[in-house]
Amino acid sequence: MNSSIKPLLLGAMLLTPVFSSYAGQPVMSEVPRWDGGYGYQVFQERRESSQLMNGSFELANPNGLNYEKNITHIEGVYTWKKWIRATLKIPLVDQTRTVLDSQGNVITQRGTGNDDITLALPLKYYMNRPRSSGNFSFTPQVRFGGDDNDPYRISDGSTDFGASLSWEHETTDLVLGFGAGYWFESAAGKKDDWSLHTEVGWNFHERGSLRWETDYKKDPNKYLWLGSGPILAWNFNDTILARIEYKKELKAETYFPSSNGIGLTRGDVLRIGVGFVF
Amino acid sequence: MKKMTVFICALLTTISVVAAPEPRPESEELRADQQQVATTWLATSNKVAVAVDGLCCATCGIGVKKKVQKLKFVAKKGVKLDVENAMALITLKDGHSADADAIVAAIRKAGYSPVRVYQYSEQGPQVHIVAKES
Repeated sequence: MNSSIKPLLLGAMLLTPVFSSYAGQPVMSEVPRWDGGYGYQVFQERRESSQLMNGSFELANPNGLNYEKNITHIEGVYTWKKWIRATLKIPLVDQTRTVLDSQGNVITQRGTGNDDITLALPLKYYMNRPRSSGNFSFTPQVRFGGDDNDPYRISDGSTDFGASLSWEHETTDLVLGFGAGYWFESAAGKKDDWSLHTEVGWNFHERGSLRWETDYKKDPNKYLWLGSGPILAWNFNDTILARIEYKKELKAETYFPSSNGIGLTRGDVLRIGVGFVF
Repeated sequence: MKKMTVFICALLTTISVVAAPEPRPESEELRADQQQVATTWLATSNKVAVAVDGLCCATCGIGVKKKVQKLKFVAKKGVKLDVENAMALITLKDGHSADADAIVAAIRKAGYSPVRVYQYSEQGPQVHIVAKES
């Protein structure tokens, strides 16, 4: 774990002594499942890396080049019927990186603004059984390009369409899920990106769960990333749900066409959030 | 790469379908447990218990509380979830009687499948079998 993430994680765990979890995300996935339900969630994400690579080859980083990205995610959901809901996701980004200028000096660049805004329409087929519940989801989605100002762009500015498929099954103790997503890139010269997701977890107490999630993302315009780690969540009451998750980078490759494949990996990810449902 | 993505998506879907537990009949054990819970809960006439398929965790069942508590004959904070036994335990307002059809409709709107409603009677819990949702 990166040393600067450790204090953040420890601090968050101390501030949240009792946490539980929810597969997917506390608001967007499990709830609201009821007709006319709605909610919103805010969570903070932090990523950082100083691992320089060229494709799958690790490079030395004598200049200590690095990046850090802090994202405030603001997300909302409305459920018409249990089989259809809409979600809106707005990520607000503050990112900095160090790069070498044309004279070989290390300079710092910063980018702030909103990343792609995603509008999705999850369609779910639920299976209610004695002491268990499951669902298949198909989610068509569109992402509207965010801020694309140089020198440190947050988004490519293009509007893309995508879809995901997922399956979740839950009993009083066990949680299991798989998912796959695909985005069709509309920007000229850019390749489509896709991702896979698995989760397995344990429901404990009556208010939460502990899960282990693994994500695989391949964006041929940036990087390949395999991350895995725990999630704890807790519903404080029938309205407020909280979640903390950490994913360790297990495998990474870099592609970045503008630098001949050389770049920093995506890095470890820490997310802490709270959601409200009504 | 696109072919590979399609292949992986198809594989995941296939695995999910195969891995999904087959629909199975409700076990006698669960039914007996629910009957026991209902018998204990229905000690007084202002209680109702409902066996609910799909109810297996308290967080995703929040909607059951929200929908049922909106019914005019249900007491404030008058819904408890017993997820171990897949039951909603309801307390009625003083002087009110339960409308089982309204409770069933509310639980369905919460995204779940009520299967039996247990109501108080002096001879023991009176059980109403809920017809499957069409």
